[in-house]
Amino acid sequence: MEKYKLYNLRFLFFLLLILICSPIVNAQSSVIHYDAALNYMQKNNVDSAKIEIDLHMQNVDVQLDPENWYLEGFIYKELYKKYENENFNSPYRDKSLNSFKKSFKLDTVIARTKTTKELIRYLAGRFYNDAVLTLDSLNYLTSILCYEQYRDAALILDSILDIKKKDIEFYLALGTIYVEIYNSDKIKNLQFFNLTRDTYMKILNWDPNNYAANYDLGLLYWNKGVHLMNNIDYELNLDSVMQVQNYSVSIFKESLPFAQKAYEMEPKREETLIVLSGIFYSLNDFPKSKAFDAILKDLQKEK
Amino acid sequence: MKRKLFYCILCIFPVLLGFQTSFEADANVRLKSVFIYNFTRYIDWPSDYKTGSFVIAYFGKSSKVIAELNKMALSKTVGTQKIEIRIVTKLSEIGKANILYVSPDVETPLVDIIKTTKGKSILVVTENIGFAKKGATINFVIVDNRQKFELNQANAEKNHLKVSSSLLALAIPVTN
Repeated sequence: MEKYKLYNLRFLFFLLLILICSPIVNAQSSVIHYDAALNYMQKNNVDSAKIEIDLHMQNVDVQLDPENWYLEGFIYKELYKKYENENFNSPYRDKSLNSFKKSFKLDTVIARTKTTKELIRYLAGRFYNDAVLTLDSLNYLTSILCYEQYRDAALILDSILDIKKKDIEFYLALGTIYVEIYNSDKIKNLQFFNLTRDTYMKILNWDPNNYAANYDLGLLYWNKGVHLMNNIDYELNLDSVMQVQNYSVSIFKESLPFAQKAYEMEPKREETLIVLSGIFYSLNDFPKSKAFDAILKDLQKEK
Repeated sequence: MKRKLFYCILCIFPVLLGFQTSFEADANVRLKSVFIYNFTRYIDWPSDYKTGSFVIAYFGKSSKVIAELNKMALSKTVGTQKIEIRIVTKLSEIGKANILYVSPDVETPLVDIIKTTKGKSILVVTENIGFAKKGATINFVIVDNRQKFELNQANAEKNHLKVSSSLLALAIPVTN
């Protein structure tokens, strides 16, 4: 009960703010729609408020006034909560954030920008959580869209925010989803190999010392080379077999610098030692492969 | 309250999501097996070796190569001959075979192996430096990180094996 009282108070506060900061609207008809939208919101009739604000926003003149965008953002946020709360691709939420962003850019009223920021923060949180929830092999495109929305919003909230840290976190996770799709059918989903590689390379452009991206790239290339070798058709003529081997060796060589970098950064990670030993083995460099095996065994004994 | 808690829990992308841990199996095993199968297509055995099963004798300790050869034997034939993989641990177990694959871990001297196969049309395949000069017909070697093979045509001829020119072109030639 207390919770609802508090909610209603907050709701009234937002509406009061809209009334206080209400602009002088040029077009009389537009004023009517704006007022009507406000009235409907006061009566908790968000559907009618939507119709009125949509009509109001059709007037080009009103689009320079942050208050109009604020009201539109607010109405669409309520629509999102009412109808699309569980919809990861909610158009209402997209429109709401877009309106708040426009309002925030145009606004000079400190009290309102503070409130707008709070509302953007709320939406940013929802976008971020949905990006996490949809990050799987079926919904990853939605996840990317949600993350991009979160990213935009987060930068509005804090222009000096180090967004790269979050970007790396997201793209590392996205990379593993791409790998998962690629691994499920390496021939059919070959394009996901490129997507994975590009994703990790993007991370390394931001942060060349990112352990996970180095390790994952090393493993990605190594696994691809091994997969090619393991799937050589018995009926392939020897000349072609040699060509497959040449190509695989070139891939193993591509994997090496990434795995070595990962090892330099974290020499006591077992998975890196396994990958390095495997790459050297695949390159038929057995002494080096055994050397990394020995380091791995020593490490396991220590544990 | 429940909703707030929900958001808190999901605030971070799971760290484990950033790591792959699926490792592919050993690639060299398949390659050796493919090579061996290809040898059967580029080498001609005398007619008395073209009846019954086509026997590939594996001399050495158990290895992944045996598993791959067995897999190959299930789906492939040499002409009309079924492929039989025979694992041998002693020279006396070799018997009549088309190919003798000598694993690099075998301690028996090569000279003894060659004595045992003398006069038989057995393609002796080894995997040790210098073995093609010492009696083996084909010897796997590593060159520039690649699995290649040496071929001693004189040794093949001694065992009445005809090697095709295509195979000779791809091999590293070795003479006695």
